[in-house]
Amino acid sequence: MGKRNISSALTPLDSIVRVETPEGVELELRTAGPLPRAFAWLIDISIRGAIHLFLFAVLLTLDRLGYGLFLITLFALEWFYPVLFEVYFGGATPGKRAMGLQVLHDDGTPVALPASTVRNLIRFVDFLPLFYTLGFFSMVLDGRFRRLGDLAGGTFVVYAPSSTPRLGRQGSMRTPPAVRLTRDEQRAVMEFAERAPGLARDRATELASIPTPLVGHSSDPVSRLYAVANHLAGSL
Amino acid sequence: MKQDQFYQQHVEEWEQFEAVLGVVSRSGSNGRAISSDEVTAQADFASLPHRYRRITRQLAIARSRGYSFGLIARLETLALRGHQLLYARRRVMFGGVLRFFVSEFPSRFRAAWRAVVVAAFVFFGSMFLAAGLVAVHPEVIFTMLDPQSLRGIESMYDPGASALGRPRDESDDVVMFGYYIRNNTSIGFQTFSGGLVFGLGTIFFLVFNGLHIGAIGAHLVAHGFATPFWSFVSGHSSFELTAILISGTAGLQLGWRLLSPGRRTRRRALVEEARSSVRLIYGAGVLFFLAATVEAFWSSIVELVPVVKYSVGVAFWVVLWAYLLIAGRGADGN
Repeated sequence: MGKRNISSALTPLDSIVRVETPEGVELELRTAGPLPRAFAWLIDISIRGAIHLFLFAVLLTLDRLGYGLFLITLFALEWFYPVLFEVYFGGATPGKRAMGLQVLHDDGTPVALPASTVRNLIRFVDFLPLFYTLGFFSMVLDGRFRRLGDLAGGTFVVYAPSSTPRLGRQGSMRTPPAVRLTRDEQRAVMEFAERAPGLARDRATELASIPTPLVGHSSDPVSRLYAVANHLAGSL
Repeated sequence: MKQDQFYQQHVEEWEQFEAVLGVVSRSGSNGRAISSDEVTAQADFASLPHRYRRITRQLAIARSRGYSFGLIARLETLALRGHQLLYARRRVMFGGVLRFFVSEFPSRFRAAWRAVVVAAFVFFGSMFLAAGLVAVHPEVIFTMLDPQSLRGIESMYDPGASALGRPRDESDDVVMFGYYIRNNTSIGFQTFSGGLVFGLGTIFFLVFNGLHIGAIGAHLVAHGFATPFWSFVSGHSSFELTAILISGTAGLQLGWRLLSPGRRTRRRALVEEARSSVRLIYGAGVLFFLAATVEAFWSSIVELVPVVKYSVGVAFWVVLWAYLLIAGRGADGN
């Protein structure tokens, strides 16, 4: 905790949270803010609404008994829907899954029953006085976007890791850099080669022409930088 | 070592690790049979911790050598998935649920006896206070309820009614069950989560509900509805009042930990307390369920002589508190 406070003064403002494992490596998790979580909530509430509507239509044929059963399912869905999904279906309700979110313990492990129950019971306090006002303020004031339920349960909501990123090597040219590069600079060049294919051509060119000592005033700075990246990565 | 060399050297290992992860997490989630092409990967179950430690080592090396984002991200994803699989908390199975109710829940209740005493004092204290006030000054009831809802309540306990509790016919028992379970359980859960405001929310809900129950009870007794009132509430009172008491206990413990975190940060203390107090709420939830069942299907019966209902009510109190005070004493070593 103390360590995190010192480093947070030095690192730039970011939603990345580092969790240290018992093996001594740090895992990086990206916490999710109020907006995607609000969307996830809207999806969940719509799903629940649809289930209620369906049940209402079916159970209405059973007259008063059906209405009683409807009230019971209303109660069950209200309190058990989030907990069941979070504990038994990979830490995410259908809404969170759709938004690519996941609930984890603050040590990075999947959320278990006690923590999930706490965070969903305290949802009641987060909702106060209306529409998650307290929860919202808690989220924007906390460095990890935790609402009060998350603080009490020791959980946070992160973006689930996306599919494995690939290593893109562009072209087969290899050119040693014209100047000596620090490690961070080397890394920046390699990362440019990985990400540039996803950028618009003009934007990639604009970015590639910034390190003039490397690319000179070439007409095609992107390929020049690719070649340097290949050299740095040691492409075979 | 250049990055691409490193990659060539280890990529096969990463792919194997990925395959093992896939099989383990799939078979772990639903216990289905594993197809033949997965058998080889299954043989690697035992190797998972070893493989995982190798991955974490490679991740540390890759970071310290400043390899590119793509490579590190891939290793990070693998390490994270391995971490989540190996360090996941054990899931609750049926045996665990049974053990919880046979010994853990009553033991936890006894261990929290200080908070139980405070919660009981606040809850039953305000109940008797309101009852006493209304008995002496009947008009006090109007500071808590408007005349219209009071008339509604009175009509429920009208000796001439066909059922007690709420106006209804027989198939309405299920409706009332649905109503009670939702209403009462929500009160309990709110009482617990109010503990987050340094226990003030919990105290508020305990006092509020105590006053409410006490005032209405005294009002009905004073206005000649004593027999229907007592015969209605006696059956489920043990479960319902105890469940509220336990919710209050758990909420007070939360609040107390925030005020007095000990040698921990307030947040850590809160997290640890919440994860343990919430287990009292599991028990309270079941008691609320029992209360709603008794209230809807037993308390409402008017055909029975009141003496029968009183006896059953007293029996429930005795059984419930004997369970809370005695069950699991051997198991927790007392």
